[in-house]
Amino acid sequence: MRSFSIKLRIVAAVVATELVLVVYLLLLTASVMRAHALRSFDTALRGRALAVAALVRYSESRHPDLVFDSTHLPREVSGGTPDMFHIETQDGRVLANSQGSHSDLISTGTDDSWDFLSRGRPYRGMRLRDVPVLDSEEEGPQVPVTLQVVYAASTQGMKSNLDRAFLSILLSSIPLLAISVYASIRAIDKGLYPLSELAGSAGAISSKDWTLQVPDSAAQVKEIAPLASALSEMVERLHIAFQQQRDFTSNAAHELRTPVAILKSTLQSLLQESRSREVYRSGISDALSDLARLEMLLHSMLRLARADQQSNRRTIPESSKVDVVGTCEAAIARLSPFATSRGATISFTAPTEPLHVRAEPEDLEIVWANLIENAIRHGPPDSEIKVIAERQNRFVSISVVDNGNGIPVADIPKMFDRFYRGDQSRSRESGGYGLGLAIAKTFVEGYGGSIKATSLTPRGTRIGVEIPISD
Amino acid sequence: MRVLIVEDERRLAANITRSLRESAGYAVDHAPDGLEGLHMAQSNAYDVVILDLMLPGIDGRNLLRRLRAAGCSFPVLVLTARDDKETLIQVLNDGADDYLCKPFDLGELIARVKAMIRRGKGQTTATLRIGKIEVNTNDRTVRCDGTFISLTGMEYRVIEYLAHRRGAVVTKSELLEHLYDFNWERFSNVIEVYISGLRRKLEGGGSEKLIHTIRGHGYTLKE
Repeated sequence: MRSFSIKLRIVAAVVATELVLVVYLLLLTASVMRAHALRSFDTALRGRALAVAALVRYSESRHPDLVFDSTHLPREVSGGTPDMFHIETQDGRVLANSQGSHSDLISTGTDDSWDFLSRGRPYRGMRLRDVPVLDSEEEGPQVPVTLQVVYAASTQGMKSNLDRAFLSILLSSIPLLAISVYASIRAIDKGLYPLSELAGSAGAISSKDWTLQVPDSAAQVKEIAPLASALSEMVERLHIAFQQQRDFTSNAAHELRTPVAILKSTLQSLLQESRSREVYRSGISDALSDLARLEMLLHSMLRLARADQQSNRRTIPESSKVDVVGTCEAAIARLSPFATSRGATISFTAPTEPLHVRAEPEDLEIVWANLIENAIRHGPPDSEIKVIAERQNRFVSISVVDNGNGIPVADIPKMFDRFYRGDQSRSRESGGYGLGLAIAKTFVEGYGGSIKATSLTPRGTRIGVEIPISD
Repeated sequence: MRVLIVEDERRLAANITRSLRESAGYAVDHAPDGLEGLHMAQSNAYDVVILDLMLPGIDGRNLLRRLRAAGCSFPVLVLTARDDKETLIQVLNDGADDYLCKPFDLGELIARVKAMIRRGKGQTTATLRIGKIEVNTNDRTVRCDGTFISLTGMEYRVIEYLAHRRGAVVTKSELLEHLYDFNWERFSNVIEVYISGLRRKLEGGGSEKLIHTIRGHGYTLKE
């Protein structure tokens, strides 16, 4: 995707809006001013036409006749761009014509008022009908004579006045445009400044310093505050994840180093002196049992890694349907020798119809086996462990219930943490590395399910797993 | 010399114990958790304490701080499965004298323990000389005027302890405290037996007296 600048976009938008506005104003002003100017031009034109018509009078002869007295022509009429006129009586007798190009006037004009060009100059013409002759004559004709006056004047002056007005409006809008561009750049810079400050404090976050100092400037901006708080929350979540990862690494290192240290010291102390066959033999069997512990840990960690891989997939993998009841039975069968050695009994309750979920059968078997093994390890020597499979709405629910001492309420949230051991002693007497429940949780959540522990009264613990059913 | 190991891994503790007994001739006690470690360290005279950090009961750092706060001055060697600098710095600041990261080498552990004992007693070399006597703590031999003197294990322990505390008056009960761990029956009169054996072997035909008896107090080794 191409990157772009918000500033550039906003300034471009402001300039475009401004330009549209200027053009619109200009057009509006132009049309209003033009209409106004035309109206006054027409009024002036009518006045001049009437003034010219007033020069028509009766002659002083015995038979008075209408004549045009051109000696009293107004001055403008014979100016640089002379006006044109043409006067005739209603019955078509021509009384007067202006000098020059009155032919343009006669040939173009038919309406009451119109625009035309004469010798390349713009003119506006006007036709007045039924203009009475002002001069009165006692012995005039019975029927009063009226005149038709056609008059035209150059509109060049009016046009250039209008053009000047438009130009000055246009020119005055340029500084206005510059001011608004400058103001919008300033406003954007000021508005975006908290973002760069926020970016600065986000950039200061490292694995050593996880505090996001949200600058006041960013917290006070309504548009940026949600971003800042989302960023803080994200940093907090990352911090927790990072911490967990680091704890896991350091716990894993501890758990791996300790058996290696034991194994190494066993072999080294065996080699320190020459010893009897029996001592060597017991030393080697010690070393082998140390090795077995290491192997078990390795196995658990690999399983956890696989579970992580499983749950890191965004979608629940398209596994085939598997019957939960079968995997429970397999897990119970696998653990029954261990249960017998501890004097524990395992009972299993399941409905007759199969309970299908989408999962890998061996993953589910690991989950149930880990839960049952955990119950055996932490229960009393002759504990009774109940495994209950049932359908609950859209879920398959599996519960592993023991009659052990239960877990302190405070420990419940932590018991699915990696390398967590309930007794805190980290003593290996009860075996296990505190990974079994973590592995179970990771697998279950990877298949879209949930796991939770409940302390039962008066004694015992229930670990419940729910996985979405697949019909 | 007497060493306390505070370590919850029994097998590891047993291996260290065997090694210290065999190749250094030290008396060794073992505490499997923090509480017992605290109790034992405060009620017996140890020349070195080897302390694991991750302990049930009281954890190692806490234990260390409490011992130092109670005025225990013995050298402490910390065993840790964490090798991040932060932990190591904290441990040293809490009063540890040295540390070893698991998995460690038993030979190195013994060498470090010996060095800490030397420093704790104000010595600088592994070979201690008092007059014509030379006590080599590395191969646990004693020479007199360059000639090798054959000693029993217990006699060597007595002379090594006295050599480390040269010039000081060492009481019989101090010797008992430092030379025996809980696995041994203690009788104060056996000390006299070892002392007389040492005198016979070291001072033999010579006129020079080395182990002096301070009547009513104890013994001192000086020229």
